[in-house]
Amino acid sequence: MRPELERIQLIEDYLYQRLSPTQTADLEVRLLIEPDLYEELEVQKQVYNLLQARGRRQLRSELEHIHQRLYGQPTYPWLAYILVGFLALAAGCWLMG
Amino acid sequence: MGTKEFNWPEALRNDRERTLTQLYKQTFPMVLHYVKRNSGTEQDAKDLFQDAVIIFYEKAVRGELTLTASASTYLVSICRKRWLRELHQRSHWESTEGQELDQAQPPADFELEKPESEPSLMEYVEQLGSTCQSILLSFYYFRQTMEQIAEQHQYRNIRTATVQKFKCLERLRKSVSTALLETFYH
Repeated sequence: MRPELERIQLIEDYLYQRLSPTQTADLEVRLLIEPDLYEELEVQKQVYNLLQARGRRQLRSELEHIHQRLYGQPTYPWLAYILVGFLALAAGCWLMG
Repeated sequence: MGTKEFNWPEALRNDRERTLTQLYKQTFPMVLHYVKRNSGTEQDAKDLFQDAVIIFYEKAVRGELTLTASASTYLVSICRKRWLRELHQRSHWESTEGQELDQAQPPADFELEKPESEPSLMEYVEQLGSTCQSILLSFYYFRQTMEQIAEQHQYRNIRTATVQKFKCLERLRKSVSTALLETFYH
């Protein structure tokens, strides 16, 4: 992986607490002396929050979909056909008669 | 589900749609019945139940779920607690018209914690395109494994999929960073 991606991975491992105590201590020192790294970390936190919020929205829409499939007006299309058929017939009779 | 421990995290990761549909079919009617009997509407029941499933999903895939009864029982109990609270708040609202609703309620484990993200940032996820969007959500939200993600997107191996995941993350980080800078300077 190129260095920029390695850096993103390092920040991720830190935020997800996957680093060893030594690596964690090293990174925490770097965060103090490298403002750029600190800023990247802050943005990356926002990105994970954003993915959490966006993922939840996705799950909600999947549940809505399941709900519609299970309970969404099953008799409707059928009723609509009968109604349209009936109206067409009525209109036909009216025009002819 | 029976006496044998059912592995919810695994089932949800392997086939989310089927597992959730099954759970929905099994549990929603009970929630609907309960809410309707307690002065709620079908819409109330649906919102309540979907929130409960979201809590259930998030806890399950993070390994934070300890079920002492069936998943259905767990979901119904979340819905019951939240509905009672909702009713309490509604009656409180009516009896103290115009007054502040008391905010000092401790967050409970049956609550959905509020999203901490700016709604305006959502569009940046959309702008990533469908592959990146799917990889990132599958990994970070739905907590699927890299093996599953590699297979779904036909990557040769986990390593390739992981590199792709970080490339997508890099793109998203760039646009979020720009957006944050813009709000900062305006």
